[in-house]
Amino acid sequence: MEILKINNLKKSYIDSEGELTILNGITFEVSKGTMVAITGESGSGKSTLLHLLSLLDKADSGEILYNGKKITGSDKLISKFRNKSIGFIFQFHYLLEDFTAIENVAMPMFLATGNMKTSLLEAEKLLKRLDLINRKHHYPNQLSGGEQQRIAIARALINKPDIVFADEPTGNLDKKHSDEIFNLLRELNREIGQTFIIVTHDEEIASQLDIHYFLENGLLQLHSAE
Amino acid sequence: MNKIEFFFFKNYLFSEKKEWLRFDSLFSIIGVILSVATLTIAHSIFGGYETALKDSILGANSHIYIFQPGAANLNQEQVNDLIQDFGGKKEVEAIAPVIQIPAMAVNEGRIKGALIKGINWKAEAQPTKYRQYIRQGTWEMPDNKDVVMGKKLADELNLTIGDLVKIVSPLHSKFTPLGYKSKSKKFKIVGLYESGMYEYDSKFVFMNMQSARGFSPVSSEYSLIEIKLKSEFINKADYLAYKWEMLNDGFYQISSWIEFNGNLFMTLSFQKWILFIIISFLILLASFNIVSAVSTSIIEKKKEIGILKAFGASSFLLSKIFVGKTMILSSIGVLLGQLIGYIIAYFLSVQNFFLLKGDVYFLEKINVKFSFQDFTIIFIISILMIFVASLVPLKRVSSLQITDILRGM
Repeated sequence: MEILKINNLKKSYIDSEGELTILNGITFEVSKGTMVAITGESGSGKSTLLHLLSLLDKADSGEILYNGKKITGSDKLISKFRNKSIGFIFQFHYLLEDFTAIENVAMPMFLATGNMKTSLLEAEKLLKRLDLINRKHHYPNQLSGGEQQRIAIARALINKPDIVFADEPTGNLDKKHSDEIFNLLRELNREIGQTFIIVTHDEEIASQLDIHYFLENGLLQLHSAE
Repeated sequence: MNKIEFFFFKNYLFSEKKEWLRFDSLFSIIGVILSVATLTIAHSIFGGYETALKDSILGANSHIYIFQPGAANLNQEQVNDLIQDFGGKKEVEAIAPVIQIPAMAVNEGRIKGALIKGINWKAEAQPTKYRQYIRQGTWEMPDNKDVVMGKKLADELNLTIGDLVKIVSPLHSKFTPLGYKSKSKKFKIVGLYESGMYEYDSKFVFMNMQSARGFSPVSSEYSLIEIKLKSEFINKADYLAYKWEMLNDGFYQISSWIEFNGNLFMTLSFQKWILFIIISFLILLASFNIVSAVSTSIIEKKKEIGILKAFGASSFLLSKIFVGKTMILSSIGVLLGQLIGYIIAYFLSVQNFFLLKGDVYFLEKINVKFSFQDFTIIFIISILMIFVASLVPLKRVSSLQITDILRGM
């Protein structure tokens, strides 16, 4: 079953030199429980595509369907949908520095429900699962790079989203931590059937995912598949 | 405030990072504390001055005066009738006739203008606070040579309790072969009177009715009748004086304390609020610092704003959090400013090092008034100004696009 369906998505920017087309008719589908990799050169529009898919930005034309439905409405409604159905993992952990690890993980659920107690309980379960329970009261600056990214992964999963978008999740880590994070995402995919769309530079990681797309000249091409 | 906002505020105030201790936040709040303290000091001193002046005027004087129209005095029969008429009225607490004669007080070549006040000191209900204002000696003047003097007058004449003072009344001079001779007599000072009002304390010489009459050309006459009103009617004195004068067909001239002092209190009140408005500008200036601190905080927290927006936080919620943080800290600043202001004002009121010039400002001591109403007004106005100022930089929060923030991170 397709969890995400994209039809002829286009996006361009106007700058001093004129119109710059970034995405020129992207069409693809993502089935539930798959791990999709998107690679491409720097500036090819990978992050722009991710922002459009995650409804953080608006496309010039084209269609984005989640479970067959087009998500439209006010910014508030879209925010609510994003909070409930979409998870994010960024290249840099982007944890909230003023909050502890467990509070960071609980934040998306707390924003959705307003119930901190339940959110903290859920966050605790995730931290146990990711073997970070002994770090729950640490602030981001008291954690290692790998730990920070694992906290960010836990945060992306707390609302049990339909799909998680990861923008270079291992881009800021050394090989050892990078493998650790990738294995963790893989485990989560196998254990709970979590769907991931991962933008990465790392061809080795991309080649291990279920589907690998390559973004070039504003178009998405199938690179390889397992 | 919902749970999410409460959580953010709690974290802001009590987290280990103590974000509110940031240099710019702290200094913008110090600005608020100082400006609110200044406003509080000025307002409480002005309020205190107004209240003390009113208390002194109302304490040293009666509230309603009944005169014979023109310069004539009241005779005994009129006085008896008037006391009978007015003494029973529900508004009246005390009524008594008084003899008032301009005079001079003399001691060893020093001469000061004075006002003789012949009163019935024995009467239980006095129309003024004569008895309460005796600071040294006694209020009793059983002997015809006894007087109670204003303390300032005694000081200026270098006199104290037990000394003799010569009272001279040039108005009732006698022609003698050697020329005009003023009526004069020596009195013993048995009490010193201090109402706090310079004008009275440097002028009044109280003596019993019989002694005062010695300075009057006509025996058994009185200058006026003084009435003290019950406290609930004091502010209606003007109306009562008018009503009673009308009821007496204008046969007597009836005046109130408001008629003599109303303009003074109106001016004082006007000045107090003008001063309030001017000093409020200090808070406005302090609010600019807050605008700057909130703006800096928004720029610094751009990354956090982007993350929270990406995870579903609305611009409205984020704006409320920024305003809330500012308001929590500002409220503490305003309350602290008020507390510091009241403490400084209190110390100014109890010290004797710096005194006002009584002949210019009527009162010598700095008085302060602490009222819940003034406290609330200062608090609300300060908070309102800071709230409006904190809204200015908020449009930045809603204008920040998540994708721009994420790209810039």
